[in-house]
Amino acid sequence: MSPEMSQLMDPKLVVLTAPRSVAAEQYRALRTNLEFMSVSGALARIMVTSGTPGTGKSLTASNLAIALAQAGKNTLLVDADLRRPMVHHLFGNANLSGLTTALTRPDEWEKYVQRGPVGGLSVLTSGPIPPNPSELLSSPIMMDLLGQFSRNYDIVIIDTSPVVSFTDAVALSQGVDGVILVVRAGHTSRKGDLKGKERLTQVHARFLGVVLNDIAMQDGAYSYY
Amino acid sequence: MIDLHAHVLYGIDDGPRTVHDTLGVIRQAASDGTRSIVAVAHANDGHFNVIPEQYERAFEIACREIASAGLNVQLIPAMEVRLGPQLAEGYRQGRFLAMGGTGYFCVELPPNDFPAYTLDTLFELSLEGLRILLIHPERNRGLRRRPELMERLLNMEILGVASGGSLLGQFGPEVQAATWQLIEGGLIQAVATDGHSIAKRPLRLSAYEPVLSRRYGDPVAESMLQGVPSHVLAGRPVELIPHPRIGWRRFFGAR
Repeated sequence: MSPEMSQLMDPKLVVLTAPRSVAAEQYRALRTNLEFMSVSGALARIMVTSGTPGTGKSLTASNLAIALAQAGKNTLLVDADLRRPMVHHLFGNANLSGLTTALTRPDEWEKYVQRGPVGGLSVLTSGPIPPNPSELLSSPIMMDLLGQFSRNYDIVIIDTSPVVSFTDAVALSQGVDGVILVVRAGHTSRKGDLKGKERLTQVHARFLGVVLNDIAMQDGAYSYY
Repeated sequence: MIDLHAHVLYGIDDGPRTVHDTLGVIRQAASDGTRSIVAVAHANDGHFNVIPEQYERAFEIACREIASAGLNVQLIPAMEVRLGPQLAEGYRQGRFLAMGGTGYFCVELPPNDFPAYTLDTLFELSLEGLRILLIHPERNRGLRRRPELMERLLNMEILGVASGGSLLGQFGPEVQAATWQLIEGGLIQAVATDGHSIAKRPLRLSAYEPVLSRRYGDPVAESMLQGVPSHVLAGRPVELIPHPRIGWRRFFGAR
């Protein structure tokens, strides 16, 4: 990690900025869980979404991608949240080109992938925001592009918009191997979260599980190390 | 201060006619405290069609004249491009010039409508790696009639710059009200003079400072006349934060 990189990066990318923290350890635990799950069927493309906005799904996707890259996986993080793209803010990347550029010029998509802050991590930011995100994301070109990603990378993590408000993630779930739903303690409603899960199971997406984010830590419980 | 939008090159559009007019408006800007001016010219608005060679020649001449007159004002080249369906193609073919090396591209909407292809065209331009600077969006009737369009522009992270005259009601009360709405909604983050001449549309940015700070507070006025414009010149993105109007409590409490 170069010094200028760490300056631009959001400190909440704890797997990099505070690798010994409890939170970082949890992201690594998530990685381990996914590795175990992939025994029963390949998990090469994983989508991260939420029911409602503001749960920290971009943060989860980014930290997970860093953890995977650190474990030696050739990882691509894709920001497919064209409603409120966050990945370039988190990593301090430019976003003048990205996924939307790749979608309009699919032959040269590799040109728009940027290098991440750790070896083995590549990042495809959202690119300019189109007037019609769902059409672009549910197009056959997008499905084709997802396949091409998997030819170049061991694992692709896709950050998407919330599933209840927008149809984007539901459409994308058809091109991935599994879906993680992020919920936030004291923030999301049970109803919204369940609705999100329902949306995804309706279209037979492979539901991998839920990440509970932003939980208040109890003293002592994790302090042993 | 930085003027993001003024017609100061002579003999190519409806800005100054002669070199004396140009030096006059530059002097006016300099005495008002403006140090940098984005020197636009209409590229394709139907009345004036300026091609890049023509623009560059006029720009060079103006810069030379300013230097030999000893004026300490920096000009930044840019074209003011009227929205049309083929803008991205025109840009690729080199028919339109972006703003200096900033990566910003000045687009002006037609006054009367908001064509169906507007958002698609702006998206196509941004796919060329450009950031869009929407010139006086408050003067577009389509946007005034359909406020939901502002939301769509905001979603696409498109930055607007108002003409100072709109703030003072020079284009009528409807345009003035739209200006406040677009500032309060977050689309408009900066104010420029859109200066054309000493008298009619002067290059005096400081004239807009009182009205902005009265309505939105000093920090917002400072950001709209100096902070955001310097971000644009540095080629950096600008966050589209809404600026709520300051309530009566502060108005009375502060004095």
